[in-house]
Amino acid sequence: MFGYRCTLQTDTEVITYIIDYLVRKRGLTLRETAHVIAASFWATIGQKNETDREQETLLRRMFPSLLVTGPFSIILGYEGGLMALGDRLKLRSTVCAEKGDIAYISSEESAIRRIEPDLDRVWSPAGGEPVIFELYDKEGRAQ
Amino acid sequence: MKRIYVNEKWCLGCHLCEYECAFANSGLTDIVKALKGKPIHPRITVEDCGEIHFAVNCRHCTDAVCVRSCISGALSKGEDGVVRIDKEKCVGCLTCVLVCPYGAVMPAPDGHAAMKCQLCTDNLMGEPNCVRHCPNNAIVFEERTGEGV
Amino acid sequence: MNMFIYPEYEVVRDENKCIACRVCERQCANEVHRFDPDTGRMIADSEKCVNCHRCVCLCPTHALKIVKSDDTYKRNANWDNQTINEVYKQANSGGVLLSSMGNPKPYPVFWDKMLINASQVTNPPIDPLREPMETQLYLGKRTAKIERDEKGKLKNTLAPQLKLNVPILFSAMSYGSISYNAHESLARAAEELGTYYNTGEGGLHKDFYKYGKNTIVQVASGRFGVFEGYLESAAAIEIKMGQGAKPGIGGHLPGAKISADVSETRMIPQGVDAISPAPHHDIYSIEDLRQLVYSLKEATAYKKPVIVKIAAVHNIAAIASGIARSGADVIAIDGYRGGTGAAPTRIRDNVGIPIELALAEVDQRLRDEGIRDDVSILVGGSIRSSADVVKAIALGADACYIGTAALLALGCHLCRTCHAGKCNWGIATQRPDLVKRLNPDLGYKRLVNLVTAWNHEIQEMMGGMGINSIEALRGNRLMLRGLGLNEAELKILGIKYAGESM
Repeated sequence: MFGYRCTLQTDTEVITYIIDYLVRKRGLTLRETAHVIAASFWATIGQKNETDREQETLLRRMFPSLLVTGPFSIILGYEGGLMALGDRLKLRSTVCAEKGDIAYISSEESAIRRIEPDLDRVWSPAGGEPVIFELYDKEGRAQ
Repeated sequence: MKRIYVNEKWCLGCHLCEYECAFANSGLTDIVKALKGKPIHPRITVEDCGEIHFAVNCRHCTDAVCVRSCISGALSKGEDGVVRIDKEKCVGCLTCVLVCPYGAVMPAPDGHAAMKCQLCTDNLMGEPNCVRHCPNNAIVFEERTGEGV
Repeated sequence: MNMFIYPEYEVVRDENKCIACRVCERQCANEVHRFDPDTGRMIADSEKCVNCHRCVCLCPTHALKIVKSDDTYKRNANWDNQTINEVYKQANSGGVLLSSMGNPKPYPVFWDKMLINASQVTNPPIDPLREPMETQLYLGKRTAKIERDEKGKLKNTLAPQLKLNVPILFSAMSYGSISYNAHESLARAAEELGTYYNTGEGGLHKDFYKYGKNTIVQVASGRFGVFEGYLESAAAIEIKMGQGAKPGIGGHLPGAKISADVSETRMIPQGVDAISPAPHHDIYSIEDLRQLVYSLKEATAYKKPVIVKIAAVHNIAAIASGIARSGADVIAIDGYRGGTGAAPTRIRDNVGIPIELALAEVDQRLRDEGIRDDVSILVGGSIRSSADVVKAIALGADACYIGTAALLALGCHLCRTCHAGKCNWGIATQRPDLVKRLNPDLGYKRLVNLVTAWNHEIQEMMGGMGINSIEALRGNRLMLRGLGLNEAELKILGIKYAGESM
C-alpha cells in the first residue's frame, strides 16, 4: 500500500523501503525514523521527558504499522554517515566503537577487536536506540 | 466487625439463602439428604411484599437486647462480636425471640431452645453460606464503619 | 385452530434431587415451573420454556436440566423438524417469524478454519510474563502531514483518535433492547478496561453521561436521543448504516418496551413503537454520508472521531472504499452472525456475508487503493474468543467489537428470545423485577474478567509469534494458514494453506 513491491522477501528489504518511505518521501529525520521502526515501548515512552514523550507518541500514532517487532540489527549507510539500529527488545546485538575518527559497528565486539584491538571507546547501544556517525556536521566541516 | 448486610435493591426474593442456611446448619454434607422432604428451619428469612424482597437475619447488635434479656446466660456476645447461643444453657423461655426487634431469633425445631444466625461460625461452612450462594450479591459479609447497630 | 407443536426442549427434573424449594418457580418469568400442593412436587410445562437455563443455574441441588426433545417427525433430510414447525407457526399466526441474537445456522465458521503461527528458532517467541507485550492501540486516521514547529519538532497534525488499552470494544446495544443494569455494567467495565462501550441507537441515559470518555454514541436512522449534549458527551460518534443481524432493514422496538425511562432517553413518546427506518432518509449515496459525517464533526468541533458502521454484504469492499473517502475515521463492519434484540428470522439467517471474508476483502481493497491508513477497521459479528480477535487483527482489523460474548459474560445463555422482553437474566428486558436480577457490581466485574482474560491470551499468542505490539500484527496475514478451505476462500482471505511456505 506504500507503493513498494518486495522481491527478496527479507526483513532487510522491508526495512530499507520503510526508511526510504519515511526519510525520503515523508521527510522524517533518521532519529525519528528509528523511533518508528524500533519504537520504544509505551511504558518507556511514558517515563520520558515531555518533549520526547509527545514526539515519540505522535510517531507511534502516525506510523504504527511500520514498527518492526522481530529481531534485527541493521547498519544504514547514506551520504555522509552511518546509522546503527537494533530491534527494541535487543534480540539481536549491536556493538559500536570508536578509535580516533574511525567508527566501528558490528554485532560482536570480538569482530571489532580483530580489526582494532586498542579502542578509545566501545559500547552496546540499547535496543531501539539509534547510533548515528556522520562525516560532516551541519556546516559541512569534518568532525 | 464483619456483618451480614442485605441490599433490598438487589434481593430477588428467590429464597435460596433460606435453603442454603438450612443446609449449612444441618450438619450434613449432602444438600439433598439434608433438605429433601423435610421442613426447613433457616436462620435467615426473606420478607416479601410485592416487588420488595428483603432477607432478614441477626444483626449481631453492639448492645444486643437478646443478650441482656436472656435469663439463663445462654446468649452471649463474643470478643469477635458474634452473638451466640449456648444450647446447653438455654432453658427455652424464648424471651429472646420476643425481644429481638428484627425477628432474627427463632425457636429451634426441637422446641427446647432458641436458635439464631451465628455467621456460620458454628458449622463447617467457614463463611456465611447465604452470602456465598446469593446469586445477585444482595447479601454481603463485610466490615462497615460507623454502622454498628 | 392452532396446530400443536411439541416443544423443542424439555425440562427434566431429577425427582430424587428436587427439594421443592420453588426457586425455579420464582425465577422463571415464563412460568414454566409450578408447585403442586397436592403431591408436594414441582411440575414443569416445557411448552413455555425458552431454554434460558436460569432455573438450571439457580437450582441449589442441581436437580434440573433442559434436554433437546427427541420427539421427531418422520426423518427427512430436506424438511427438518424446525423447518416444518416454522411452517406450522406461520400457518397458525400468519406472521413474520421473529428471532433474536445471531444467526445460529450451520454455515462455515472461517475463524475455525484458520490457524495461527508461532516462532521457532529463526525468530524467537517472546514471553509476555518477562517482556512488555503491547495491546494498546489508537483508532482513527493515521494519515497526517509532516509539519514542524520553529524548533523542528513535529506538530500534531493528526485527526482525533481513540486510545484503547485492549483491542476489544463492546458493540452497540441500545438502552431499550438491553436493560439499564446491562448498560451500567458495560459502561463501568469499559471505564476500568480503558476501552469503549457503545450506546446503540437508543440514546444515552442521563445517569451514564459520567462515563462519556468511554462511550461511543450512535446516530442511527431513527435519530433517537440525538442532540448536542449527547454528541458532546461521547469519545466518538458512530453512524449506524446497518447491522449484521439484519442488513437492509431497520429496527422496531415495541411500545411495551418504551418505559418512562426509555422514552426520556430516546426522546420519544412512552408506550409507542419506536421505528428505525431501513435507510437514513438523508443518505442515499456516499456524498450524502459525507454530509452527515461532516455535520457531526462540525457539531463537535472536529474533536471526535466518526465511525461508520455497516453490515457485511456482497459488495462490501467497494462500499468500504467509499466510506473511507467520506471523511469517516473508522469503519465498523458487522458480520452476518452479529446479534440483535429482535430481527425477522429469515433476514437474520439468510442475509449478509461472514465477517472473516468481508474483513479480508475490505482490508485488501483499502491497501490496494493506498487508503488503508485513512481509516481504522473495527469488526464484529461473532467474535467468540481471544483467538478470533488475534485472527481478525491478523486479517487486517484494528480492533474487535464484542456483543454476544459480553452478554454471555453478564449471564445470557443464548436462548435467543430477547424479542419476548422477559429475559430471566435481567439483560434484554425492561421489567423492573427482571432488570434487578443483573447487579452491575457483579456484571461489570465479569466483563472486566472476560476481557482481561482474553487480553492475557492475546498476549500469549502474540508472544508466540514474536510480535510484541498488537499494531504490528494488524494485517500480518502470513501469521495465518488455512485448513479445509477451497481456493476461492483462500484467495479472498489472502492466506496460504497450512503447510505452505512463504
